Amino acid sequence: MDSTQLLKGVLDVAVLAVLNREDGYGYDVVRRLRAAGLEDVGDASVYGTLRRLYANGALTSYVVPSEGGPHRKYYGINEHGKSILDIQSKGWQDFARSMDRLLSNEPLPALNLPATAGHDTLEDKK
Amino acid sequence: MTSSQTVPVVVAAYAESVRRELDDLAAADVDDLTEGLEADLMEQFEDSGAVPDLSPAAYAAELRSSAGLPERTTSAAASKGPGLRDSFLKAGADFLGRVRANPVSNAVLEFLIRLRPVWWLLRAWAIFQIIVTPLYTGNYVLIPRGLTAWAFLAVLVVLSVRMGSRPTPRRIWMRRAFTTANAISILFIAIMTPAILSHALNSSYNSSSASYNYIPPLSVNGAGVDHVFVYDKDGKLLRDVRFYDQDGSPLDMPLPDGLAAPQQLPAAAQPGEPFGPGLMDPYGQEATGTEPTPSSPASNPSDTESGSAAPSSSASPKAPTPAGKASPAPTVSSK
Repeated sequence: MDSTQLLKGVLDVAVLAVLNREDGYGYDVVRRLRAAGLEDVGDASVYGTLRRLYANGALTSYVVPSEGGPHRKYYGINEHGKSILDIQSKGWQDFARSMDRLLSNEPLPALNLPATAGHDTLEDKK
Repeated sequence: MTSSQTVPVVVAAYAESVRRELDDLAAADVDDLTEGLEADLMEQFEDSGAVPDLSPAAYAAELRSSAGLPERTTSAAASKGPGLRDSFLKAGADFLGRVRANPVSNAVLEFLIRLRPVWWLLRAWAIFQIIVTPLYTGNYVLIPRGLTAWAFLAVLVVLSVRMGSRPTPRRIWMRRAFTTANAISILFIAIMTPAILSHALNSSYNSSSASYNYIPPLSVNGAGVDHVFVYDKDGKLLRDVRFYDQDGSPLDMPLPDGLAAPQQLPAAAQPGEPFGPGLMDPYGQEATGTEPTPSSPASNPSDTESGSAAPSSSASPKAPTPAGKASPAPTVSSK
């Protein structure tokens, strides 16, 4: 299965989780994501995500100059970023649990939808 | 990566191409998005030995979309006004894309990229000409003259190489300043170099023709004479002698510019008058140790017997000469 499509949906929370452990610069984040098993993550996607999270106020940023080489731009997570990470972590866990259940052979729990006017469903007739 | 390394050319070129693909965005967005790009690409380069597989355009597109920035479209360019600059940049980007797509032209491009240090030197030279020449002579010279000029050129070379070998500056105004400096250098080189080169070639031709077509100041029977050595009847070399012509004017060897001028004697000096240095070569150096040895000065006793013993202002034409040839020197005076 093409994991790049899946990655797109979870890249924000993945990047936040990496930075929640330790500050990092662009390629460092890419490397840690790949080391964690997300081998197909594209570096440009990560850099763009870092920039967007920073623009949204979830990250702090600072430039570390180097003597002979180019400067590195480090990112760190801030309180706003941590709250986003909490919310998205819960969202992911719910999602993953649902997918796990769906893909397993466990019986699915009965649906218990509330009655809605105008909807002719089996539930309505009970 | 280690901190002492500079960005490889391919990485710098790749980053530059990515930036170009983003240049329709606001400058602050581009800076935000590409700050640290060289460092990241370079580290990746060290890991994998290559720049990303994606083309710079695809890489830039991925950066944009993940950053939540608008895609590059013709309408985006049009919203800024379909100016000459945009179409020029687009044509340039398209051309670069075609060059990159072909393996041969891509190899040529890579080769040219490796030649960039040559351009850095040329650029320093051009800026040197632009700045220095109006301050001094007003004449463009191919090579600087004088220690100060060389030192200034050296500083410019260092700056130019530094400007070229460092990563593209983060600030857009600096990039524009660099672009302007490059454009001025290219214009200068394109316009002025032919004139400077032809001037330099002409002057070197003139100076070489002056030195190679040296005409000896004296001639005998159509053959040039550089040095004249005077011997007395005993075959003894006479030093400190001077020749005068029929009008009493000294026969001075013309000396090259800037060398010691011949001793000052009145133009109509009388023979026998004392004077300073001895034989001079055409370059104003005293010609010692270069005189030929007379073949056999004492083997010509007839001369010794018949010749006048006292050297006088009316020297006998029979006076022995080194080569045995009678050279009718106008006047010989001796001390």
